[in-house]
Amino acid sequence: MIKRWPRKRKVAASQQQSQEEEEAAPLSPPGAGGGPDAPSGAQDPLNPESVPDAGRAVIFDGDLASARRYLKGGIGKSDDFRMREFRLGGPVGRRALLAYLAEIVAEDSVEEQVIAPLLARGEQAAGAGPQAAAVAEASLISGCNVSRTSTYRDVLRVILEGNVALFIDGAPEILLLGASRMPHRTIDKPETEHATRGSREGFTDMLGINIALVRRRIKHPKLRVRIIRLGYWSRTKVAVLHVEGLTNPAIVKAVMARLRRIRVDQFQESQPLEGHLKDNPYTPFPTLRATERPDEAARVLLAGKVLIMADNTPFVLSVPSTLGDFYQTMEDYGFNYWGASLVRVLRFIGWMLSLYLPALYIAMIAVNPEMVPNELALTIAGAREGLPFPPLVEVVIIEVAVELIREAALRLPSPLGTTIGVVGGVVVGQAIVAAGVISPLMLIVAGITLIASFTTPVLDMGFPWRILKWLLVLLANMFGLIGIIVGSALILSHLSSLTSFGVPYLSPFSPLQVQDLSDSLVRAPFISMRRRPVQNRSLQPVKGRPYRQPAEAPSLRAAEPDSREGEQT
Amino acid sequence: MMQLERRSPLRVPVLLLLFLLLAGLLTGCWDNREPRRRAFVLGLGVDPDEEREGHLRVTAQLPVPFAMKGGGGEAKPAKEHFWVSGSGPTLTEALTRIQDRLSREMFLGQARSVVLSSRLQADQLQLVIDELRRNPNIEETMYLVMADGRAADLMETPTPQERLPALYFNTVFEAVKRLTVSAPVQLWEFWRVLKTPGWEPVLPVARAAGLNEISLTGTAVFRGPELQGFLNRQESQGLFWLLGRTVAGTLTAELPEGTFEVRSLRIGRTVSHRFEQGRPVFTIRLRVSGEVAAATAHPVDLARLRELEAAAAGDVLRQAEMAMRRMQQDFRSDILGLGRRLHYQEPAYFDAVRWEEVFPGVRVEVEVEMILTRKGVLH
Repeated sequence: MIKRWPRKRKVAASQQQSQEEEEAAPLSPPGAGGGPDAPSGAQDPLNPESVPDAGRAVIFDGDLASARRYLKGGIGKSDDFRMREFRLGGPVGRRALLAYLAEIVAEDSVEEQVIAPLLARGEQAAGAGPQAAAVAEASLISGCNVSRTSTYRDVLRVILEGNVALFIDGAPEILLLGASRMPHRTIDKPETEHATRGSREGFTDMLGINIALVRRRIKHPKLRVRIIRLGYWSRTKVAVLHVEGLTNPAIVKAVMARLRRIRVDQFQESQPLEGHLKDNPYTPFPTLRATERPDEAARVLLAGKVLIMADNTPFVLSVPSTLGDFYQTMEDYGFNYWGASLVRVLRFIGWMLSLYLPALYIAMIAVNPEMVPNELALTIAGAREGLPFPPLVEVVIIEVAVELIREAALRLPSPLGTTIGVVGGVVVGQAIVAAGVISPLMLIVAGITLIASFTTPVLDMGFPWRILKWLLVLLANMFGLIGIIVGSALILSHLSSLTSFGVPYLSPFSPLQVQDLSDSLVRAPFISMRRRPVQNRSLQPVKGRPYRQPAEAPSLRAAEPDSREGEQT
Repeated sequence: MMQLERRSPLRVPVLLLLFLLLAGLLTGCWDNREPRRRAFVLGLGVDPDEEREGHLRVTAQLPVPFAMKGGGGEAKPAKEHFWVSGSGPTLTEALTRIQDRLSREMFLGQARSVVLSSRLQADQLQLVIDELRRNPNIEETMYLVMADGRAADLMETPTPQERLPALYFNTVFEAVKRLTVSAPVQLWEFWRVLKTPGWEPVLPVARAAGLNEISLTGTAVFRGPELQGFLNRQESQGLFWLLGRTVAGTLTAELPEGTFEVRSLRIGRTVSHRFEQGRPVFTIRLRVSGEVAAATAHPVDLARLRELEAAAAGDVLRQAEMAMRRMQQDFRSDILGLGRRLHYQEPAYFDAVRWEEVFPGVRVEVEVEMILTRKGVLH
């Protein structure tokens, strides 16, 4: 079980407030009329100016009855909220009040670590007067995750995160005890990014575990984790990871600034975050690379990127991300550079095919048949005799059908998905050709296009190409090859206008970064990659010393006499 | 509300998308024509019209579309192609006559060869070449062939190896790398030579031999667009030597030991000129490497190789001089482009004389050096 506290708990209240102002959208105050967690009519959650209690915190005055009243009036209206009152050190001791949400707290550990010692030896704390909380923390409570506060806002936050708040009558400080038992998924294989060679772990849905997975891979004191909470209602934790002294601080600053500006009511996935953080929010292209693999996340972190992890999703974002980043996977570093380069080139070919094949089919058949070799042109013409539809209609029918099959197969449970593939692809495909509705060549084109589109390693990247494919199909139908070229130019000009946190999207190709080309369309051998990608503008551009090949090998000659002697005797 | 929408950042993409979608609904965009509405012309033959003086009779060969279906299965019609011919004062006019007899739109983009009759008048040939060049649908790289006789006869000769006779020349010229009797000439090449001062064009010559055979027989020599005559097989080979191209046939070298057949492998050529008594003298140096292809006597003494090389070189020289004689004396046509060399390098001289009158008397020295390689194979 992993528990996380908000950073810097033990600071004076005033300092803490300014800190909180910076790092968190505020939680509701105890309203005079309504409950503490219900915004009144004037408070529009989506308008940052009207967010209630921005920075203002209600202070606990040490009166247990008022605390009880406060909690009862707000969060206590829920049936899963529990308050447990007891006396420190026996029947006449000072009263204490435990408050928590029953379903997300490990009650047994609270009993063992908090209630039991306080019941047995609570009089020590009781005698300390207003310092009771400090004494309890210092000498009684055996849990390790303990801190103190004096505001209800912190109390509510830790309670909502599955922890426990302990009020002691007459002591103005509230003890916050870590005892969270949030339900979560265990670490599993990454679903969307398989690797034949590489770590088998994927990120889970729980932020704490995800941070731990990265920490395990980068055991360095300069790995910085900054957590802020976003979403007026969902209060989702978002962690920003970077390596101090390596990551360019300008990127970190930009990420933090953009995150703080986000005012939404909730988000359950990192995609909405991406939508808010993009340089150009309207482009179909993703400019934040999402990954499910902790090894990939650690790798890009040390390449000078910033990670953005949202709670409740295994997809971690890295910035800045260029077009090339979406075609690189962890597996490229699990093969030697020949294999990795081969795979990269294959991906490039797959991308070209998935984007251009249907458009080329139309252009070559309908508009520019002179560009096709004689025999092929005649074969195509022969095969199309008696077909009812022009090539464009054919492409539309078949490509829409393919998209439908793909979508249906995705939504169904996997055994049924196979059925859809067989029935949809094989049976319908066969029948549609046999019936003379679609030419067999079109079916080949559609099949290759579909398979090629799956070579894109990141799912997000598939969508823009699937959409732009249609643009090219329309242009090809109107202007033939010229149309395809014009369409490509439009796409290229759009791509070159994009940036990801200031880094040009097409880098290292445009603007040309010769050094970064060693890890782009191909992957250079490890010993020759001694520098971090220039595009990330890392503070430490060099990552390794020159390595001389061949490395020293043990001399086998020296061992020879011994073995010979052995044979002779 | 309208103000708000007008300012929307999505406005441009949405309009663009709408525009594209609507454009997709348009029919008949420019060249967009379905294959089943096109008639692919695979080859053209051009003859003078025998019935009307001054007219051209153009024969187009087209595939039977249904027969072109790939793969097996359904029964195919017996005939896979057919001819349509039309007559008119120009090629374009004749083509429109052909179009009148076709149900589909004629498409010339796949035509790979044009067969020109040797009976065409010079001005007719000029006209046809010009029209082919000006037609934007016609590929510049299509092959030109001269038919010794009627072009239509050649077009209609069935070729057992090729499904479509019109593709015959395309296949021949692209498959055979070493020259035998004639070199392929593409439309743009013919045009370029025709328009270059001091250079005269040639065309490969083919004739229908027997019932189902097309045979390449030699090289047609022009002066301007005017046909001068044909070089036969030997003379054509001589021409290729002079042009610095390897020839597929073997060279015969007679030595006291026996007869040796030498196959040429590679050839290097340098041309130079000088003036003697105000007249240009050309020197063409050929450096041919070859290997022994057949011999009636072996092994050959390596010391006797020089002799063998010299004898083989003599055969090259014989063929080259034969071609040179035909060019200068019979055809008076500078198909080697020697005049072009003078045009570039001695423009004053070239402008001062009429090259086609000077060329027949110009002295051309041919020097041949033969180098036999792969000597180990001799033994």
